[in-house]
Amino acid sequence: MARYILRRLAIMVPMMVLISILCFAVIKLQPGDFTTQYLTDPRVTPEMVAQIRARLGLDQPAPLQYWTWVKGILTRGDFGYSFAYKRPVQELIWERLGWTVVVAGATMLFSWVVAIPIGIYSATHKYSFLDYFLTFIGFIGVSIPSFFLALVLMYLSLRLGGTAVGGLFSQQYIGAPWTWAKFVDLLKHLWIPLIAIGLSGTAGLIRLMRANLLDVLQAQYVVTARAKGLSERVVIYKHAVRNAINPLISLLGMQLPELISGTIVTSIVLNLPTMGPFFYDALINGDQYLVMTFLMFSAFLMLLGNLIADILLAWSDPRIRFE
Amino acid sequence: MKRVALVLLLLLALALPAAAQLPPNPAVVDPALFEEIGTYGGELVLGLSAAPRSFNFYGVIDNNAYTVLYNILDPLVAENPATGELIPALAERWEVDETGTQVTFYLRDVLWSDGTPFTADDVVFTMVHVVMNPNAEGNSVDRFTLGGQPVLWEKVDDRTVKAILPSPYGAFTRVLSHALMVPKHKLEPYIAALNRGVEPGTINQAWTTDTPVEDIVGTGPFVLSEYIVDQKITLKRNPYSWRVDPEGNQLPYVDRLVYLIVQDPEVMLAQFRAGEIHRITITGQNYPALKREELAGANYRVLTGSPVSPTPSPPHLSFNWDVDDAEKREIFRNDKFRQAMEYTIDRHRIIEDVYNTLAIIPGVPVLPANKAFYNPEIEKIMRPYDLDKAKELLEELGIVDRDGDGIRELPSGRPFELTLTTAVNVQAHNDIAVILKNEWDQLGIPTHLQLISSALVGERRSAGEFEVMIEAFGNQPDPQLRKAIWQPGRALYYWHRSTMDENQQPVLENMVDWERRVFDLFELGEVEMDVAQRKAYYDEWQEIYADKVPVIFIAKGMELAAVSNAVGNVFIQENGQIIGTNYTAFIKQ
Amino acid sequence: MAQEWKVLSQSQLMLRRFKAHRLGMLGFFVLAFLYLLVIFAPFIAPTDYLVQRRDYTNCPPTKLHWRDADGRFSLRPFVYGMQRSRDPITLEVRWEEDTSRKYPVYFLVRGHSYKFLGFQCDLHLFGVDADSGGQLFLFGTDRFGRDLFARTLYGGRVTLSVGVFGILLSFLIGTAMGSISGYYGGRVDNAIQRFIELLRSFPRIPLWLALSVMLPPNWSSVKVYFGVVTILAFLDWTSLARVVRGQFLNLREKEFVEAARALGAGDRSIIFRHILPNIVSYLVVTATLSFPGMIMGESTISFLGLGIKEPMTSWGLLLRDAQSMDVMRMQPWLMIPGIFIVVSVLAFNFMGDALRDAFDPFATGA
Repeated sequence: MARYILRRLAIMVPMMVLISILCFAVIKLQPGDFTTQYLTDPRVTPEMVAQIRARLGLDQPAPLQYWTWVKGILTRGDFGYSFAYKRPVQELIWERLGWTVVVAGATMLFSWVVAIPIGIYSATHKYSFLDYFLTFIGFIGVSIPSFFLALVLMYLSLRLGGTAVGGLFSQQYIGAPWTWAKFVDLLKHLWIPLIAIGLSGTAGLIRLMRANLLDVLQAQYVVTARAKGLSERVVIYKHAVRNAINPLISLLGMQLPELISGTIVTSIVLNLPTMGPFFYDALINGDQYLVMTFLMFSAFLMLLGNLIADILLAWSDPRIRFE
Repeated sequence: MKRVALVLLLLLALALPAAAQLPPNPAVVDPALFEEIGTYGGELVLGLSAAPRSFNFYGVIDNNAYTVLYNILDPLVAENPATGELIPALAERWEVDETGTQVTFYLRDVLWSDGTPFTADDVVFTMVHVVMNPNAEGNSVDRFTLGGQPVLWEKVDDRTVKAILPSPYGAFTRVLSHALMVPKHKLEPYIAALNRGVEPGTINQAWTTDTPVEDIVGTGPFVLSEYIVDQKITLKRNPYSWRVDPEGNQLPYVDRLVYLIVQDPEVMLAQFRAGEIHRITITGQNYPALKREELAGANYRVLTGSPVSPTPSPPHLSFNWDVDDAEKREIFRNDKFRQAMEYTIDRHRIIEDVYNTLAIIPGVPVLPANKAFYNPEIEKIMRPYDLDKAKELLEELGIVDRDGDGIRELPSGRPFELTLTTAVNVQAHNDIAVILKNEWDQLGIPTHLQLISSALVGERRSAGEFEVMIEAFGNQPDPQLRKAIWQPGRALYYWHRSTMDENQQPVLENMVDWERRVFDLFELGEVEMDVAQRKAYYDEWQEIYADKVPVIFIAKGMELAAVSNAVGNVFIQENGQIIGTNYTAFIKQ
Repeated sequence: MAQEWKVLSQSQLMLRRFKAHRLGMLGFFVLAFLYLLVIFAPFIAPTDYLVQRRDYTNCPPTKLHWRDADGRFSLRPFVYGMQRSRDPITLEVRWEEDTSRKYPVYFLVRGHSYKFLGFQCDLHLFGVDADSGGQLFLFGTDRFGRDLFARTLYGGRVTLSVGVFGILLSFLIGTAMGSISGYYGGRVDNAIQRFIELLRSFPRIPLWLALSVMLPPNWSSVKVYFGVVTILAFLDWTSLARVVRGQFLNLREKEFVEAARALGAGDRSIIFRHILPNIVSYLVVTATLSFPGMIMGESTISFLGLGIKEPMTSWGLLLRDAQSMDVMRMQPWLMIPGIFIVVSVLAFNFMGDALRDAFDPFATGA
């Protein structure tokens, strides 16, 4: 097991190198660079643009830019400098990591906590009214684009006299020390992003959980367990559910980077102080080292998530062995 | 006992009203900015569409940073928000000598917000090492360079500064109103020219978003108090603020000015409705719903102001004079063709459908509200919507449908088709493009829309890769400030790029006669000191533009705002302009 | 002979099970209806989806009447003329019915001409007399006075076809790669897994941005969109491949597979005859869950301004016009295309669900 993990970790190094090269290529394939945004500004003369490009090293060939960046990481642990913010990129990412993790974690927790019990209920009470009803709600959830759902929820909240629209806090609590009132205010704001971002994932999980459990419930060993006279409760929770969750576990690891980069548009619509909108801006503006570092961070999470998923899978399903 | 007395004295000093820290000679702001004398206290909350990239006015080119910093820093000479006229700011007065090349500024006796005196050294430092520092990303070198020679700055004494111009410069003080003064004692260590071992671009790394707020000092009405990353910026009253209201009360009225960072305009609107934000800018599409709510007794009012400021930028239509297709190139260069196309633009329909009636026919491009430079003659020259006239002109050019398939052919017999490029994420441009396509399709000129992101539009434009384009540039009060766009041979004269060579120098022989005249007019206007003569030059430019239509101006959106009834001194002036500055606004109790 | 009989029975069983699933049947009929609607869009839509009408901008859906102002009943529905006015203070456009002008609605009327299956044709399923000056907008009009009903039908053509195309493509790749990876394991599996990880570490938005400008600018927007979808499909198969692989890892150790192998079945036979049928339910569930993903992808692309562009249209683009709280309030009919998105996705899900039950080899009949 330890050897397997070590080997997987070792593979991650060439993977990251490959990914970084491809990411850089994709960034460079986009037309324009950081200075393109200044072309619309009548204040900015062509001389100024040339000067900025030279100072930022954008006039050098792309492979050289890439190598300078990699060298900085290897020799000084320096991930580069943000063209827009004039600050080291790792600082900027660090500043925004806290809320990103909070929102991502809460959304993930929300969808798993809601989806698994509902999935189990739906499978064990197949074709009951509640099964249909919950399935229906879940389907509605997947059917509305999440940024549109966010807008609709804000609209409804506003029409019903609510004031907690957008962001994570009311104005006076932003930056204020933590109090009970601030926590309540957070909850008042958090439900919209939880539903808007989490609902489609939740619905998907419910579907998968229900389908898996239904499959498992018809498997031979479950039938055997029933025949042995075990109570339905024990059969379902001890035997069936455990096996039905297995295929879902591999999803868990994959959700990690998804929640950071997969909700960019919704995060903009909901005005969340997370990394998504920040990254999107950097991308649009060609702030290349910020984009690169973010992409590498996301890729690293992805690889790590996959490894964790595989380990979890092995741990939960004794039939899978590492070769 | 002595100690107690000392403490008491200290407490007394702290408890003294703000007015005690007024400079000896405060400036009374224009009474036109007041509806009533305000009361102290409370906080004013505004929205900001993205987080500022830095707090260094010259380190970035970022409108959000500018919005925040205009509350913190002051120029020597400012624009009066009510009239647009130039008024004294950090310079109490200034004198221009008879040659028009020496301007002496007499500085106001004020303190920076950390208590350090503001002196001539700060002015020379700001102008020489920051504003005219080519390594500062947001520098203004070109605005203070005339004929290749820079403006020189000289300290006369602590409170007097002299600017020595290489030649007379009509818009000098106007340009100076965009140069905000920064403190030498805080920024000197970042200047390569003054410190050994400091790299040239270091000035850009000063006052970044993680700089402690106490280090960011200014002379303006507010100082920075707190920045919560990507969420909000809080500014507080500057105790040494030098502006007073007509009754002598030190401004600003509010204790705090808060900017909430909200990227999505829909969320900003929602937060305004929820009472979180006090004042926002709206579009014509938002107007009916908000106005209806106002009439139904909502706690806010909608203000419709006549357009005076550069934004929203008035869109224009341009044809690429240097397009690859030789036949089209010739057509696009023909004045008659562009005039025909002006006849196809139904400005009234666009104002009605795209702007919800909340727009005006623009100038070319000086705004009608700009008393100093607007030339009303152009109203007679601009061509109204008239398809018959358009068809007539097209026929004169030989662009007619010869084979009866409903599509006009070029003189060579090829079908005449156009590709119209514009920004998909600018609603007004997108919608105007859809309307024009419909118009031209019916006229027998099939039009393809190329709707791309605005960044890409900028890219295509500067590379000259387009046929027809809808673009927009803001209009500034003084045409000199827009020389880089409207003078042939400049970088942003993008529809005729061959008037400029690779070294960004104008090529006079590539200009047609009237372009040559426009070029000369801008050169003349730049150095002319006589106000009436300058206006005459720019009047002629506007007439040429209206007649020859190098670009066709389409419409200019009104200035629309919605403001909470809790806020005082935000109102519509008699001339229709919206008035309301952050230092005169107050919160009604 | 016996073999053939068994196969027949299996599919008959499936059909029976599918039919028993009420919601599934509903989904099937809804989809059939939607596809017919969009295929015959030019015939069904009474107006041209591109025509702008200056005097009918932001017009709400036209009401069908059977009883006129005097209380007279007519079997043939009719519409009234619409009178437009603008409120002088709020500037909102108001519409009122002008009961003095009555326009009956006919079936099979002559209207604008269109091309269908190569034939020039001007017959429409229903509409008002084109020369009478009456207007029939079942879903109202947009801000250019274009008929939203026609636009919804034409937009559906793009959305429904491209979604299916994308899913087919990504499934083909996903299943193939997943099976190979899971069945053979070892080095092949390792290589494929690393490749999947590599692909998955690319966030899509930068890719969309890069692609949207790399595709030739003279392509029509439909072509560009197909291009983007193709590339998305090539990136999108990875999650399916992983699920398939997991199942293969699981199933290849099972007794029935080992039994088949002992009986001398080849790899191909084991994969296609023994393992794949066992995971069809996963494939179908994942496929139905992918369809919303494709539609969401389309609307996200439209939101970013990279998808279908004016004057072409799609449901995602139409929904973009409704992305404002003021529109929700003042022109709620612009949200109708959103209903089509929701309904089609629901229908796909219900149908997928029913298919899943029908394919289930352990299910006991209806």
